[in-house]
Amino acid sequence: MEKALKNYNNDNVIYTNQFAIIAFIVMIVFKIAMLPSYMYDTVGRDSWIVIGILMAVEGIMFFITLYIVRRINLLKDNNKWLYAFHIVMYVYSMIRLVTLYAGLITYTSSSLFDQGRIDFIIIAFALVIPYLASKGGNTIARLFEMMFYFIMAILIVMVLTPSFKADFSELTPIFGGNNEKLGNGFVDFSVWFGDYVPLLYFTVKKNRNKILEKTSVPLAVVGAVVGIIVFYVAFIAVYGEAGGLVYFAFNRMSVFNTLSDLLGATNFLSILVWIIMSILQITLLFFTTCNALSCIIKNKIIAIVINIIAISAIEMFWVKNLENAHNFAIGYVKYFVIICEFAIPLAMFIYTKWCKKEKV
Amino acid sequence: MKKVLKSKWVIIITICIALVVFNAMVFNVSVVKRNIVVGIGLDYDGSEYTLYTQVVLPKNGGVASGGGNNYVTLKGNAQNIDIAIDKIEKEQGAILSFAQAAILILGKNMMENGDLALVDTFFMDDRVHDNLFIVMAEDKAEDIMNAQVAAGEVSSLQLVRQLRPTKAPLGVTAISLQEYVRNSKNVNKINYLPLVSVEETEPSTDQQKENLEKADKFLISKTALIDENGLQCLLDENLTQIFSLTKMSLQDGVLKVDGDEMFSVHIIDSKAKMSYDLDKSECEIKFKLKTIRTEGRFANSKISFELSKDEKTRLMKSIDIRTRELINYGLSVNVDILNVVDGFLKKFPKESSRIMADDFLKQLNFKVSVQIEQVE
Repeated sequence: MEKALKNYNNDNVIYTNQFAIIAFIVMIVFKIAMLPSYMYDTVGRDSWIVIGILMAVEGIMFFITLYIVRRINLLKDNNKWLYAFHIVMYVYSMIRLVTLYAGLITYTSSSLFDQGRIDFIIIAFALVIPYLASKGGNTIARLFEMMFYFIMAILIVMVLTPSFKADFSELTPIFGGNNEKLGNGFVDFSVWFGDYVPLLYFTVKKNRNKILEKTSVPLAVVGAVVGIIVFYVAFIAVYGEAGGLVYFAFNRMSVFNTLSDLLGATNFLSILVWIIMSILQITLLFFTTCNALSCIIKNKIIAIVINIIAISAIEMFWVKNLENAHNFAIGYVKYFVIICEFAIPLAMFIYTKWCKKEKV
Repeated sequence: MKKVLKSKWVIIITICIALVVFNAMVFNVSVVKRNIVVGIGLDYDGSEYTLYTQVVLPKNGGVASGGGNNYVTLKGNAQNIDIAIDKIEKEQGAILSFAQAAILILGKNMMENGDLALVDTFFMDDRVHDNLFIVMAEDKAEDIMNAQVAAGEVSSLQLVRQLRPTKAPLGVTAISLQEYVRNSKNVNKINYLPLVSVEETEPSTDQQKENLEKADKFLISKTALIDENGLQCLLDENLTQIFSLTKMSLQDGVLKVDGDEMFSVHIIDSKAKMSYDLDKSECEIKFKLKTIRTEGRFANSKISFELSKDEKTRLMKSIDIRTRELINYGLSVNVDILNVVDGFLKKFPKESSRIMADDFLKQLNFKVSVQIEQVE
């Protein structure tokens, strides 16, 4: 443990294909859970277009992030101006962590237990997530890589055995609903986006395999963007105007395959795959808060301890349920988050140019 | 010792112990204290709702161990579903598990006078399968739940078997909870449910070996049409067939053409498309059928399963007439059976005031075109 913590600052160097895998998983995981329902409530049947645009922007930002993290290693950089960056990163990551962690806790509580008590679930995660984070960025990336093949196998099985009656007329008329809240769809859910920001604490080095080096990131990003758009189109075609009533869309949609016809309402494959993906995503966000805090207070152990106590206490005593987390996310913090999502990469891009950083 | 305490194994063992302890403390109910529901019924008597749950009682280890199952129907009366579930659970001392529920049966009075929003309770409950079939009973849901079907079988599962053919046939089309709730949220849409009635039948040869009592069988040949106000009208067997042909893509079923020389065709594949023209006030229904004559006929010194030119014309005319009968029936009971208004609204959202006018449907021209491809 101590050894792991000592290495904490130095093992954040990952390969391009690992960056691609992380990008693919973090781009999809929380966007297929509660977001489709929230989005439908606000935007209605045009939510697939809104998410498509937001995902395209997110995809572009991943390429910008890749450009930056090929040239900088923020955990080794002692430039005093970076203090401001770490403070902003800490607040930003904490806001996202509070919201998304509530989703994981609620999902675990409702899918694995009859009446799962969130305090026990929080304590269980409070042991697992800091441990994974303490192992450092390289280990987290490797974990993403190991789980990726398992996740893809399950997703492919689920996608190839569909069994649902979709009504694609539910998608029409496009932009015909006089929806005054259409614009809100682009701003309200900022907390669910910006998955590229935590990756700024990594440094990406070239993969020896040239094909992987060139194709992995575009494939992952395009795959995630297209996959999300297809998922939202299918979601609206399947649930139509009842979309607002469907929490945890991925879980509900996964029932519509031939395997589930035999198994009943509980699709363990979908539960398994989503919980793995979300733990990885939450670990990454937690890791970001720890990186930011340890760069400020210069003590990794204390940073991890403070963060896990803080986030567990916030979830247990303040957030308590998904509704509170949702209200928090669509409150004023959404403006701060959306600014951070563009300002942080932009600032780092300028910093990279200013310092004339070379490729790693 | 200090080294051991700092080992990663300390962390891993701590996590394992914590997870085991927490898991033991979390409220989990063993399968012994669960009633596994396979079918749900809902009736309304004007003041209270009655919830029926058909549950499995495994005997001698259940089907997997060659022991088979018994079934029992539990019921609870209440003002809403949650209280009814709570009542049944308290009476039985066991939790109702809805994950395996395969069908929801709504009584006639429930459809006419009950609060149909209660169906959303099942939809919003994560434990209930979205693929759950939903049907309407000709009278009470209780009659269906208590029907005496073949030995060793239970009414709700027998109904599910009847509703789930391998290919979509020409007749009543089953509807899942997901489709029902999706359609019900669109106020311009008419929803449909298969109508189930119970009929007493003579025991079959196999049944006679075990039981000489008469058994019940389910008839599913009619369709109930409903909107947010409840039941609007019923379609008989003939209208149900043409309704299915218009609304669904079918891969099975026999279409009969009456006349001096009656003949029938087997549907291999069917598709129907509706197009809307507001300027001409016209709605066109285009059928595309792939068929084969059910019985061979003697033509050109050989047996042919192809329709003659005259038969093809008669088939097209028959579909045209039956489609118009369906539309006219809808107009007579003031129900937009084919969701024409919704179709126009989706295509011309800015003309909603004109489309939503009371006499819009009555002034509309309906055009029916049929394209038949024959398979030898």
